[in-house]
Amino acid sequence: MDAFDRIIADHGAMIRRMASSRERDPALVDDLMQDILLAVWRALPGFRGDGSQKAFVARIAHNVAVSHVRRASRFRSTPLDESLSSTAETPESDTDATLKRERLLNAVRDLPEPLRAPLVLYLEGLTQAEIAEALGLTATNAGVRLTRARAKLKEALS
Amino acid sequence: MTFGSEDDGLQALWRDTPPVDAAAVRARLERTNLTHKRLNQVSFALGWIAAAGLAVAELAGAVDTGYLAPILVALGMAAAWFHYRRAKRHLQAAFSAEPKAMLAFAIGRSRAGLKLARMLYVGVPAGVVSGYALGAVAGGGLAWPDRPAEIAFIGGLVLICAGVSAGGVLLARWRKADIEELSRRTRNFDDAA
Repeated sequence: MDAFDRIIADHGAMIRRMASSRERDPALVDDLMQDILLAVWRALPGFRGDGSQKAFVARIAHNVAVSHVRRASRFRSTPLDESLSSTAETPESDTDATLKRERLLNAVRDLPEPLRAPLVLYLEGLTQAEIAEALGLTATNAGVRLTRARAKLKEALS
Repeated sequence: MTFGSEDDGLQALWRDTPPVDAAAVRARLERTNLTHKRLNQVSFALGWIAAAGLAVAELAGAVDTGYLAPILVALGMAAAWFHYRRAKRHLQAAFSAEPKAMLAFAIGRSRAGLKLARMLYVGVPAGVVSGYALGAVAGGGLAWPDRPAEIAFIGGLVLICAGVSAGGVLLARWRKADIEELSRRTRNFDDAA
């Protein structure tokens, strides 16, 4: 298994979640995930290992996702109603946790991008310093955005 | 569902997703990459066939436009291809990974410069692809032997596309210090591929 395969194995789920936080349509999530992985592949030779690989991948994923959202907003189509296309294999697998997670995902999607980006990285387990570096913010600014994002999310989920 | 003291629970809920099938993801990536390469090759071949067809038709006397149109088309397409390859590498390196590099690349580090750089990023490949499309249309000039002006016009457009590509290279070189590191990454990527 080469370095790129290891990245897919280790961080593929995170990349998919980050893509899902920007897109509802599963096909667009796949496309965005692919764009992110291509960008990671290109940038990988420049990874010097002086920070965590997770933060490195998250930063690239964020940059690609932001470009994607900006581009997609110009050619936005209306996706099919998600309630008609449950991805669960059986009705029984629509567990309470799955529904809760879907609710959380929807609440995150509804946040404006400046708040959504730090929150997603926080939920992925990055530290405040890593979030600040990934987003090109000061640590203070990242903290402020994170606090606002948490408040909005709390409001949406209550 | 609450927030605040239950951060850990929320993070766990967020991350409770199935693992990604790495083999399937890798296969999809390679398939797409191959498709892009083939499209590139096909457009290149079509363009050259069109240019060569026009030149042969000219030499055979089927099209009486003077030598200007086919020479313009052939030279324009060769230049477009040559510059596209180089511009694409530089510009992709500058724009692929880091907004800071994008900002550094922008002329004078200004907002207008950034817009211009973004336009070039889109315009270079778009211009070249248009060049090939127009080259193919020029091949259709064989069907209009009595319209030399149109054929010459098309050749001129192809040259403009090549000029846009060349502009991308010059701009990239101008900002070479800023993007040297990122270019190196892309060269490594190309070598690995």
